[in-house]
Amino acid sequence: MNNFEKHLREHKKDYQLQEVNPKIWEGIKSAQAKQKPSVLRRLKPWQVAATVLLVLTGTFLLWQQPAPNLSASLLQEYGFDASQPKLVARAVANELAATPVPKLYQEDYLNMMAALKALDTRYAPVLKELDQEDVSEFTERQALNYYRRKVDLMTGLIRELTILKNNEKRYAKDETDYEPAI
Amino acid sequence: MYIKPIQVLFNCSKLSDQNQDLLTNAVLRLRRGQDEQAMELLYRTYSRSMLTLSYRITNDLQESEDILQESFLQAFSKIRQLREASSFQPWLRRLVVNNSLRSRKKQLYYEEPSLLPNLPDEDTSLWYESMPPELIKQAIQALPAGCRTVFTLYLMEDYKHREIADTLGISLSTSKSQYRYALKFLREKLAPYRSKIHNGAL
Repeated sequence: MNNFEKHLREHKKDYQLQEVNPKIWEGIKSAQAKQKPSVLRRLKPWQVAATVLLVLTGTFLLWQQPAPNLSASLLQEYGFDASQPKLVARAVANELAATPVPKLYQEDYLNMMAALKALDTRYAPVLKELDQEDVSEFTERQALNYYRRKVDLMTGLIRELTILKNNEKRYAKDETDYEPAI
Repeated sequence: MYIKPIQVLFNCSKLSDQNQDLLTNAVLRLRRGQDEQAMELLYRTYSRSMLTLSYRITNDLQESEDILQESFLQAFSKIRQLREASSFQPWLRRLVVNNSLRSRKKQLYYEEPSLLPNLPDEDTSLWYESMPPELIKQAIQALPAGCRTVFTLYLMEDYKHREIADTLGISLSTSKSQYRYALKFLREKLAPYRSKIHNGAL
């Protein structure tokens, strides 16, 4: 690089355009104002933590209900062997609560927890029916289906979080050359 | 007296570590959700250089203003894709370059090296030091489109020739020869002013 090139590079700021049309910023502002942020994105970290706690507490309380009297053959069919699905789900939930969530995936994690909460809400009436004396096989199957899906989802979530956490350092290292595809 | 972060930035010609932290912090705040102050800080910091970059590629100020707006909107809406907050500037620059080239790539032409004016490569005098920046700016803008883009990306934006070749879809040797051509062209274009400066007429 000769002196002329060096001079141009060192003074490149002097060769920039003098001003930027203020209308550009006005346009950006008005376009942004039209996009409402999601509730999750507006939450502060402590609010996120409180939400997670609330979801976990709610789920835990739901599982505190008396264990339904489910038939052994159906339990086996849904892969619970002889153990109560409620206990299995509680154990997995405890494991999930203890699994660290990488910072980058906080929002995905919250989305997943919201999906689990939606599942709880959907199946709450079915679980209530289990408290009654004459429970139909259909209701039992619905309840077991709920437990199965919930346990599978939480197990999958724990597995993914563990993989992400284990590779967190590698991702951070790769970021030095990172250029997202647009 | 309270000084706004934006003012602090504008008072410094080069970004200090502290200012870089302010910008990184702004990106992080923006990733958490909409934050107009953070957006404004980033916009005020980079809009001028990005508009200049786009203008050097398109040579059309109005089109470059549209590109600038589009690029910032893209950056703000996709900011969560940016894993490293400190790399906002190169990421935004890539957006601006891609958006500017999108409409212009096919129109870029690269003159044959044989048509280059026969000027010596190195100049021992420091004639350019007293050259008004406005004249140099005009001379850059007068470069043929292809070599102006190569020149801008290499000298002003610190791209490597390999990156330029990949971005523009040209060969490595074309990128290098176009850059050399741009330098010679500039010196030829500025030559009439050299004597005026020497005689104190400018």
